[in-house]
Amino acid sequence: MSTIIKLDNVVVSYGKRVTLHGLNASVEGGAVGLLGPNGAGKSTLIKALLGLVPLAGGEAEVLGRSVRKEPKKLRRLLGYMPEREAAFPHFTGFQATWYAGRLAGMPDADARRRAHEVLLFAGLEEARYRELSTYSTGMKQRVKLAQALVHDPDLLFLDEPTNGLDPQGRDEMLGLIETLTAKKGIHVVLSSHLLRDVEQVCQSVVVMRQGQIVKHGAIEELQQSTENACRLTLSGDVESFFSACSARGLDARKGEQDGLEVRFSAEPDQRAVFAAAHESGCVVRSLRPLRLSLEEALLDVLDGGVT
Amino acid sequence: MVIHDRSYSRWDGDKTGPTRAWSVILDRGVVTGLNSLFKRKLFAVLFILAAYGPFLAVIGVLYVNFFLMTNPEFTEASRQMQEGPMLDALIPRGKSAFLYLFKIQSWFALALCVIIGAGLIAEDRRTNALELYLSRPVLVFDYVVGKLAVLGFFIAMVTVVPALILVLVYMVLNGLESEMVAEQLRLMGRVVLAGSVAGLIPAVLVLTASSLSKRARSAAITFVGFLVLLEGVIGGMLSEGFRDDALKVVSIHFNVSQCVAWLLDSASDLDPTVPLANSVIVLAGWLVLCFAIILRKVRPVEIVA
Repeated sequence: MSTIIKLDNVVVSYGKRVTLHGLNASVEGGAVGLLGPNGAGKSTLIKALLGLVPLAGGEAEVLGRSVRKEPKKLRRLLGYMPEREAAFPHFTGFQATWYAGRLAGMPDADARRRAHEVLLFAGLEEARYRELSTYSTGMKQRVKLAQALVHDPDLLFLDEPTNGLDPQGRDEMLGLIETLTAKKGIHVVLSSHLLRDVEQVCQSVVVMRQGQIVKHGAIEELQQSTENACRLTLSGDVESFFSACSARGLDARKGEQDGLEVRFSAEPDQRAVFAAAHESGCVVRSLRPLRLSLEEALLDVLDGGVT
Repeated sequence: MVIHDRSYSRWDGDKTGPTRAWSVILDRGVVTGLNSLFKRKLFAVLFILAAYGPFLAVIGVLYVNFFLMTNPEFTEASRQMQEGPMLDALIPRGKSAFLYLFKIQSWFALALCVIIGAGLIAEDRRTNALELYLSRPVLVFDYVVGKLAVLGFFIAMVTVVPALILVLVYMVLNGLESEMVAEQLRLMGRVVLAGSVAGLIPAVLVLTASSLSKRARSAAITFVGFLVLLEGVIGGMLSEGFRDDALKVVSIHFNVSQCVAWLLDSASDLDPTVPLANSVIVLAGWLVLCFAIILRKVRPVEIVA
């Protein structure tokens, strides 16, 4: 997969307040999740990559083009769905989507045809001739997606796309995004504070905290990199097994469902687990590395600081 | 049976050509402006009739004059009309007539500034549309030029366009002799330039008021309030307090009239108490200040330092 975003010591500041502190990263294509607590700088990074806020230092490239030198050409290749409510005033859904296409440089006839197509794709077929001010929150999110898609971008920035949606609307929105990235070859950068959204759609993540990138890479990598435990099932006297583990400096406890979890204080050492089981007269039925949920992995990364 | 693909399809169009976003903004802005003007149809019709009234009256006078001149039995009446004061004030051969008409039409231009111009940026700020505009291949320059062009279009429709029609009517009624046509074409150029200056200043002022607000109504109040304060209160206080004609330079309306008179080559309408250069400098200063404010407010992200 090719590199879609390259950050080289990127600094962004609002007035005197520095919000992004020298970011360095090379992000591969596909669906990328942008994670981090509120105020981490996720939205600012997206705006900086779109050229909406100027870079105070460093260089950024998106799809091989410089954000600083070619913002206008670059934005023809990008789609953006902002976090906050945003709409062209007094327009219907169709007019707003058509207008977004025209502003992106599409010929009138193409913009009209595409506006109908993307509104159909976004599920706004029936409501497309209604004024935007009459739309529900979910419909407003959908029309923002349609506007971001009308000119067929190569890379789509989605800032909290499931904000304010009910569970069904959320699933539908994530379904649309999955279709775009998995079947249509559009790269997606999804900023969200909902880990489930990112876990469902993205293959890789960029984790931010206090204006810095603390981790970036594939989700599996992120989960593995924090793994320092294993999950096992065994037959025999569990209490004896716990004692044997304790004698070897292993932290054994009951885990989810019927399984047990053993945490290692240093490097994972599965032979020590087998030795403890043998000593306590137990038989290990299954043993596998403990895979942390994305939430646990994220908390672990955020606690660990910059890497 | 046709099976429609409801899924997303890629667009194979050109993504490298020029975007000309300002013309898209102009195009759509004119349609939206006409819609808002014609929301109250009776008002719109009365407004158009009133705005074109002075020009229709002049065209009527021109036609009557032409009719009298071309019919031998009305020779005496025609002579009297030619020598009378009314024709001098109205027919376009006198350049003062255009200055006079522009002064009348400036009220309609101001009304259009309030009706159409006040919401041009304010509404986009209210609905956060600036973020949508500027995240596309649209520069702040494209955006401001597009919005200015929308207002320019409407102002031109009540100033420059009828004035040009007037010149054309005069040309047609008086025969298309090459010397006269050349003179009238030069006059047309002057009318366009003068109309542009007369329209640009209020347009930039109202766009500035619009960029400072998030509601069309408050932008309109700011614009009108500013003009009343500057032209009425401050201008009045200075002229009463100092009794100095040179202080007329404070008035935007006065400075615009000076520039328009100069562009129309109507020396008799230039006020000798204020040098033309002073008027130009004051207007240029206002334009610089207004554009600085507009560029500060037209941003995709509001920066609170």
